[in-house]
Amino acid sequence: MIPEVAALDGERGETRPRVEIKSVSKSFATKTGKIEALRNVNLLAHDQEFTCIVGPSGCGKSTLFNIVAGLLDPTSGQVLVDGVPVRSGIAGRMGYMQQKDLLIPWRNVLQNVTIGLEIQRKPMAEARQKAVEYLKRFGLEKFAGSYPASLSGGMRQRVALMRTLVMGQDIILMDEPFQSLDYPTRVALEADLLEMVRELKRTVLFITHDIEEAVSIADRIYVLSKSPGTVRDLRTIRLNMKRESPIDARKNPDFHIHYAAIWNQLEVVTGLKKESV
Amino acid sequence: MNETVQEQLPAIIDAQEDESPSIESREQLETLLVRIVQIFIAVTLFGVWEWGTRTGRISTFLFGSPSQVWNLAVARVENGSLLYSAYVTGLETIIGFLLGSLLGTAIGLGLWYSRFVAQVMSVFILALGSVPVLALGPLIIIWFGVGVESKIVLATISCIIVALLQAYDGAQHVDKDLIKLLRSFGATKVQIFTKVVIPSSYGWVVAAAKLNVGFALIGAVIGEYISSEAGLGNIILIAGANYNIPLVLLGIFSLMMLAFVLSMVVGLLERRLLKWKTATNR
Repeated sequence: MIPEVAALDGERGETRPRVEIKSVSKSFATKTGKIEALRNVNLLAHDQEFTCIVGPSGCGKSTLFNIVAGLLDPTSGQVLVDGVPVRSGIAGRMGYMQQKDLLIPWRNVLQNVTIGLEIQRKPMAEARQKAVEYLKRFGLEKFAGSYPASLSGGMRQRVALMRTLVMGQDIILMDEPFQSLDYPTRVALEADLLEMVRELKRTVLFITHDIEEAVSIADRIYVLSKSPGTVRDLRTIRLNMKRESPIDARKNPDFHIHYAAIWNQLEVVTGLKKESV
Repeated sequence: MNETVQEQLPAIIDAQEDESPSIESREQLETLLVRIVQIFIAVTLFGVWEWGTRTGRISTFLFGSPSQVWNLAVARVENGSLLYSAYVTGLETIIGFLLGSLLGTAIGLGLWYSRFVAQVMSVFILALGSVPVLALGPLIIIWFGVGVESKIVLATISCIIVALLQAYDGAQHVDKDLIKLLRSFGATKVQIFTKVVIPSSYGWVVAAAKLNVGFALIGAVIGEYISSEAGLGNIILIAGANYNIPLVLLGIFSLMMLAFVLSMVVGLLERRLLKWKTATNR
């Protein structure tokens, strides 16, 4: 049922898995009975790879992230990070970025980027220096003193990204971070993100329901079925192996093959097509 | 203006973009016009009043006249008695305002820590808040004497409930997602309190302070009315008993000036604390 994880041949080769999701199931008790959110999910995120999870809304993607982040316990199964089981209640081990930018309105850009370091009681001077370094690297330093209200949606999400990256965790969970942005901003941010995670050698788990986004940025894509979420397909995307930008990836002839294949999967799982797999 | 530019070029935003000068000058013109009309209304009111009393159409005995009030003001400023009265009332008001605002805000924000304590206290807060300050006056005078202390206490009591309720409301309206964000960094409850709850309540605290300038003044003047040796309320009370209408009016105008100055100070505080709200175009 679960496709075998194909070895990545080519210039990169197979890397070790950082996050292993092993037979994770989760159900919630409600007044009307038990709701099954995830059923037997198996998933790997390899070191310094970009792993996308695509699925229809309500397939338990966010529940899965909460389990991986250790904010929620699975009903059964387990999550290993670097081979060590994740227990709930350990926050702050992985970077977590959400759809809402959640910038603090009374803090300027620089202060928003340093908030996480402040919480972890890092020395202020060091935190500021690190934040400035990140802002400079991604061309945001001239906005360091600006307040979030004066920034566009794309800028705000960039600052949120800086705030996540500056924490230095090398595994980052992203839950539809660009969903509320318009198309050109989104593509620009996808390019920035790819560049940053490669340069900083981060491992990314990225949730989206946009197939195009997934195919243009991911190394691997897991397709989840609708509720209860379970892995329907794993596709290894090689468009990005040659360090292409998401725009170049969209021009690649293989792009449409992947796109169509995932689309068919999703159509099946959302019930638009009545035929069986 | 800026919004359209940002929509078209979301990725490349020019920091130099600003509102065009024509809109700015139009706004300046409008502010100027508002000022002119305000001055016109004030001058007309005082003019009609003065003209009425001089021509005998308005009773000087009942209403006084602007020139009488003015002459009295000059004389009392020269001998220092008006400034001393304003100083006494001002001091009572300011100290009461600060004590009431600080205590109320501290308790209101502190209640964020424990939902249980907040629920227990809510009925007592409501009970205290519904008592008119005037009714407490005699007790406070008996306990704290006829000097400035009793007026400070009355001014404090007048402010404390509004400050408390506003601060508590502010703390309850903190963006829950911001708290979650801080938790995801591993924040403690103290850190969430100092980094999110307190700053996000500034808007509410400032709104309370704006109201409380007036309430503190009411508390101080009520105290002076009940029993006092000095202060603007004392002047008004004695002048009223003697049918000295110009002096009553002078006292009232002085109170207005005092309230105006205090409101301006609070306005400065607002600009300082909430500068991120106005800094939308940098």
